[in-house]
Amino acid sequence: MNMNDYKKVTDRLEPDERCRKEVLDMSKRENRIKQNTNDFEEKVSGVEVRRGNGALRFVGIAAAFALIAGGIGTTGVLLHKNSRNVSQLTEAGEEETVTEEITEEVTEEPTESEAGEDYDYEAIAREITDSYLERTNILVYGDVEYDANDTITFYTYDSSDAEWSEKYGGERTFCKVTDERFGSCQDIYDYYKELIANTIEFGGYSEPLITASDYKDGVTLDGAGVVSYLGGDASGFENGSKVDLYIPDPEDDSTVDYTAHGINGGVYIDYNGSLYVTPRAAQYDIGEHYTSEPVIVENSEDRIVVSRYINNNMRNEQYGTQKLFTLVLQNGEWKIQSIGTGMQPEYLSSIAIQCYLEDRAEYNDINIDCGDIMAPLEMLEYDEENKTSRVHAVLHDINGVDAIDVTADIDLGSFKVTSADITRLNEYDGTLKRPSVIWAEEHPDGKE
Amino acid sequence: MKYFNRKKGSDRMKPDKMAEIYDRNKNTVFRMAFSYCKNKADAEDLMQDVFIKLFTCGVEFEDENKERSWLLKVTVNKCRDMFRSLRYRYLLTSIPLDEACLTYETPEESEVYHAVMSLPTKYRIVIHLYYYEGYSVKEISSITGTNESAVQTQLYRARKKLKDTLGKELLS
Repeated sequence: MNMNDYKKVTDRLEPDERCRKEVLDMSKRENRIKQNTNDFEEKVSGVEVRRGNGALRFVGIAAAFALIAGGIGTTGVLLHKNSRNVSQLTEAGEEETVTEEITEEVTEEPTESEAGEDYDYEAIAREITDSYLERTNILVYGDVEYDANDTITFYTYDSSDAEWSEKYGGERTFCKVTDERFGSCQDIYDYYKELIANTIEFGGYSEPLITASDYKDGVTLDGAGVVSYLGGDASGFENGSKVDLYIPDPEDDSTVDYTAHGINGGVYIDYNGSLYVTPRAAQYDIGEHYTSEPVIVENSEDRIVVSRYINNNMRNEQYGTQKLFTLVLQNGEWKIQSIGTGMQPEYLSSIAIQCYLEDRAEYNDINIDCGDIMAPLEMLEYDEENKTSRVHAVLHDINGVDAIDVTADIDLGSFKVTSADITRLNEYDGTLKRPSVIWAEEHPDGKE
Repeated sequence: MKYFNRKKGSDRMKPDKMAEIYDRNKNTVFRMAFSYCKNKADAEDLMQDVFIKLFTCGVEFEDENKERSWLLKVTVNKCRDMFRSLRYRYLLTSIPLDEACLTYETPEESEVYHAVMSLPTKYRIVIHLYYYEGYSVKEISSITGTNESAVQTQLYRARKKLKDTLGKELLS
């Protein structure tokens, strides 16, 4: 009797063969989704996310738009007990700001009398999700009124990187906010935060986060620091001056000039006692909107889960992304605790078509970048319950010429095309091949 | 200890490379996970998570030893995460050993294996890494994130418990 007995028994243990296929298939799909997301963000934004650990807190505004900000906004919607009708949203400035201290005991269970009350869940779902959208557009996209003639301008650069400075640095102009509700970055955060529960949850963190009082420590419901959008007090920089973004030690947060990065990528900055905003949202009509009515998918006395599809103005999608709002009752008010992501019918359909065409040599001339499939995609049918779609699109060859007419049925759960009707609109030209096809032919060992 | 270099997103791992790494390490990861979870279904789930993490996070290793160490480190961490979850919080001491997937050729094998699997989790990990995987105390310290003296203490106590259970010292 010795340790070899343990070894011998353990040696006979093996995972099922099916695991191999599942691991490899899932990894390939994840990588493809990641690659597509990156490709899309790069195409849409054209703005580089600044490097360095510390600077990762700051995402260039245009890049943030491309992320379809899972952000969250919201302010205190006071939905009182016994209310058949939803009460009015509180106006910032009129209502006393609730400044919550960070304490150990922040999760407050509803009392018996609260939990048993009669709520109009549908009205609550609509009011809170509407309010969320308004506040997200304010925080993330700068959707506030401003004076276009009252501006301050800075010029950002990186003294250690001429190429970056040339390509991505340059003028950063902010306009004075005239919306009387907001006089500082803190006001924007307070307004955004009013609808958020004391503790919030999002994927990636095992413990709920406590919402901070100070915007510098605040996070959105998708886990991003709000300092990505709220640049803070930039009064130390003279109007018209150059702002150096150089980070001496990217591994050391203390070497990051956060205000400089706030000027470079932020949406708002404080300047000499006033609030300023980048005017891009209004100039380019950037923001988010709903493409569906709210649907309650779960509800109990103190918790509601609401589904609603949301879309970025930059994408022409019928549905966009399904957001799953979890609302909880807290001290008699309904607040948002988390927002999950559900179905993305257009995006997932595009990935399925991409995978389908990639495996067929007769379509080696077709441009199958995910964004190029999504752009002309028409959703003919979408069954959310069964996770299926039928879509139509005319896709281009790599020269941008209409090349195939595709109608496809798709299983959105597995990203697979279950049937496809494809008509060629031009003859296949063997001299036109996607760069990835050429690369695979030249590197057969690395061929997927 | 730095185990790897992170690759750019565009250099995502090729499927044939993934298959090669999976085939090379699947048993190592699965057996470590089984030693922790004591059942095949959870061990397979964990193993899949570990490999998907590797294949999608864009890392590459200097050599196969570092690759194996990294995989074991992630496996141990994922096991711990799983056991922190609500599902296991109240079951930790009562998870039955999944006998269906185990075979014993001698009574001694069964006796020793059961003795090891009845050890507390932290002792099972070090026993598995030390005797089965052949890692040194220092290497186990790196994999489990426990300091070397604690690993030594755990090994000592694990051996003592095995001796108490089996009635005699186990030879390595």
